[in-house]
Amino acid sequence: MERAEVLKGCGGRVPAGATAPEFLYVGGEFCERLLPPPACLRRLKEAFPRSKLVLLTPVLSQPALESLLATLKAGAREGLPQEVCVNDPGLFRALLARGGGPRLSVGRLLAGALGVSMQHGQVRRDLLSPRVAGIEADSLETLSFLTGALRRKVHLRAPFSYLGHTRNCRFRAAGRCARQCLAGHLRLRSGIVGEMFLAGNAYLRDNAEEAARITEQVRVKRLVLERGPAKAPAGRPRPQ
Amino acid sequence: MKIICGVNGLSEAGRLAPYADELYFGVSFVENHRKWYPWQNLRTLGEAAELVSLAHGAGRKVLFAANELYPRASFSRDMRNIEKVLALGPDGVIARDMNLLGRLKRNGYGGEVCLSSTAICFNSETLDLFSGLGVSSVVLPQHLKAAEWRRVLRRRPGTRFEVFFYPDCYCPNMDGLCVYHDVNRTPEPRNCWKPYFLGGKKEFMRKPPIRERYLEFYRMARLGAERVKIARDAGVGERIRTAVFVRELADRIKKGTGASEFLRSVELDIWNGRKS
Ligand SMILES: [Zn+2]
Repeated sequence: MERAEVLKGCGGRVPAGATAPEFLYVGGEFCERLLPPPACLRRLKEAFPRSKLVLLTPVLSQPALESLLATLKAGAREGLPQEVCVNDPGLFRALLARGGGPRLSVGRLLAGALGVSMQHGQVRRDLLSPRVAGIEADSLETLSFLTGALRRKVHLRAPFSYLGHTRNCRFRAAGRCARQCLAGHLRLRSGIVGEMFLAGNAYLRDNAEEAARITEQVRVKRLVLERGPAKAPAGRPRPQ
Repeated sequence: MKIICGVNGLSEAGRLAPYADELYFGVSFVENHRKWYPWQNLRTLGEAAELVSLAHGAGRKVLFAANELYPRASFSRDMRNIEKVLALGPDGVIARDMNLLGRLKRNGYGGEVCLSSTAICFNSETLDLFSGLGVSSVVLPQHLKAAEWRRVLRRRPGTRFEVFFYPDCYCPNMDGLCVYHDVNRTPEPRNCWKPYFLGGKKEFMRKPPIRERYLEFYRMARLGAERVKIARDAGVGERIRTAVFVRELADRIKKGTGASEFLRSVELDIWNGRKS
């Protein structure tokens, strides 16, 4: 199983004690303001020469799409990033159609938006392309969208699954982002799901139990770990 | 700007028709993003046929919502059911599933193909992807800002688009990507409007303030939104009141009312209890 770590924003660091992971995710799946400039990718590559750099991307407004395509163009000469984790349908199409360039993986938002349509037709054929390294799943439900050969491409997200995200972020005011956005996960209590977390502009929940069950059901291709302050209650299984 | 209004049952279609320019409907035998709201669907093909002829008799366009994702196991059956409804002659279909769109295109479907807001079309590449699948108009996701959409229109001028009436219809989280909304499979999902607790303090998921949502509606109208959607959720009386109100707002914008004057007029409407 491949191992990956998600860095928060561009200034984030791999937690002390962790060895450089095989794959290092940088950027943001929920917010286009967290997309790193080319210089940041270069800096990370120097800091973690052995890790493959994966650029994590969100749903993209037109200005963000254009600036991201420019970043990818600038990085192409140096082979950076090595993979793009895509959550925007248009970006996925554009990069897949282009041929060459970084490998792609389907982020959990895009996987959710494609849902059961991934089971057949052109949607499936696109995903079976060798350019597509993997498809993210973070719950038993999202796993159920994947069938047959696509089950050999599971990138498991842990220890949080996605609940929702907003473009009306509480950490943004008067055109500026507060630093707490990247500070970690705020613990919330919901009448609907019990404990959940606010991470920047996204609502997440602990998926330790589901992640363990997913590893029982499929041979996970890549485990993508996100560090957060969340600690699973004692005795609950966690994927190792 | 035209008003398109959701119809939940045959009996209300006649009441809504005088107030809306266009109508849309779903049917119980084709999933349409109303999984947990069965009463918001017509029940039979016969009812759908009656609705189509009623709408056309009143000189109204009518669209059919087939805006879900369809799994492999039931796709042939779903497709047959969708084609049965389309054979009744509605003027178009609202959809998001790329396999469905591809199939409609291959079959030479000639009506309007309207992309659901849940297809998260935020940029020109996504627009191109769906245009290539035969989409001819787009319902904009609620979280897409007018200033951002303007940039897409600059690249793809002439794109036909539709907006929700944001003051009434705006989910705090991205529509089409919200798991929380119906995570508990409740028959009336309103999870995103319910409070949560942060350190013992009650909070709500954030939306832009009502003023801002009116302004976004204004800006989208100015950018040339062809239609405004009044969704199926409210009761028929409420939808009629909203349609009358939205028509007035659209007229004010069409007359060239400036943004601040528009907002003042809306504040007066709210003050007078015309709108909450
Ligand atoms: Zn929601």
